[in-house]
Amino acid sequence: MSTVLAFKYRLIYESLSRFSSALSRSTTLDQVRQCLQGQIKYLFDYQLVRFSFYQQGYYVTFSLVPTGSNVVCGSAGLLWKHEQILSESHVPAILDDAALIADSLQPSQLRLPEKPTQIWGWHVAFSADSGLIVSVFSGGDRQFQPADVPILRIAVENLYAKILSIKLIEELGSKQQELQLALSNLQEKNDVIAQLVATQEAVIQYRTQELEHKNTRLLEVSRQHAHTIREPLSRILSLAYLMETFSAEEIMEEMMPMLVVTSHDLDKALQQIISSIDADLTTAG
Amino acid sequence: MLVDDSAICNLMMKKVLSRLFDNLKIHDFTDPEVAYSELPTINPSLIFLDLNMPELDGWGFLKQMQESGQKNRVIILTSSTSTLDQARCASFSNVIAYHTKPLTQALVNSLMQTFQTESFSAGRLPATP
Repeated sequence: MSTVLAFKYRLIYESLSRFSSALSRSTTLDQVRQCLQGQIKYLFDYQLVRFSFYQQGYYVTFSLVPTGSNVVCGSAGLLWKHEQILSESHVPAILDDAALIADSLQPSQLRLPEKPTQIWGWHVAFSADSGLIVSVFSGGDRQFQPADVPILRIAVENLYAKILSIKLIEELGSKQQELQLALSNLQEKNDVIAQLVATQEAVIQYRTQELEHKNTRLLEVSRQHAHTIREPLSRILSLAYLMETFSAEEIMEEMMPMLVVTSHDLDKALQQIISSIDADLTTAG
Repeated sequence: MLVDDSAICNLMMKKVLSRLFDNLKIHDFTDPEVAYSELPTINPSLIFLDLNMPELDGWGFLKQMQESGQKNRVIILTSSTSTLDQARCASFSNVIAYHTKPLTQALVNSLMQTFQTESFSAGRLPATP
């Protein structure tokens, strides 16, 4: 008898160590689901097992039957009827109310081999707002035994640690993604600003060139005007300076007519300049 | 030789110069093109040249002289007081003076004296008949 028992424990020990190593290789919730689906059946018998993880209002539920499994993430609404009771009471329970069992199984999408007659339930709180609600549906050929409880306990502790670490890595990943997003946002804004600055610079350069061009043109025009005025004016001055060296007769007969013509030339030059400035102002306005 | 598009300027210069030199032969032109074509025939000992003229201006006149190797001496007589114009004259070796109008008797006097000294030092006499 003791050799049979020893043999049984050795099997269970090996199964647990296989479960642990498979779990430690899992990096996503779906890989955890596959691990549970493949390994839990070697630890104890069940019609259906539920592992419902929660942390700060976030829930991950694993359901497994001998031939299938699923994993769902979401809110407290994912909890089945009996899990709601366990979540409030914190007291381990064996429930055998057929109506409650039927009620609990209602949301399940998995096919159970036989009708369960008992639910073994635990609420394992690992901190104030985080824990695991575990329930085993037992019945028919697949009866859960009190001797299975310590083994389940070890499996649950392993599982909780794994889910927590996956969640942490996900959070870090999403934080990093957020940072990356913020960074690329900044980069984009930076690009936009750089573009604005470049456009502004181009506009300023263009305007400056335009102004420089206008300035040069203005200088040229004013230089031209000065020349146009100075030509007849210098003639008048010449006449005036030479006046004293000429006789009265020469002045009256030769110099005065020259002075009149030259004064007219000066007047013409001034009028021409005024009208050209007027024209420029009209087109500019 | 006088080259100025203003007839009045030429007239005044003529009067002033003829009072200074009794026998001076003066050719005056208001059209620089004609003046340039007559240049080889007259071969003047001195040219008074205006800068601001329509068609062919003083610069064009000087350039043509330079290109055809005519070395007749030139005194620029212009109403332009621009230092830019003055600086540009330095590139023509036959320009011996740059003066701005208005004309005064004293200015013409000193111009002619400069010219005469220049001619002596160059071993040439002014072309007075």
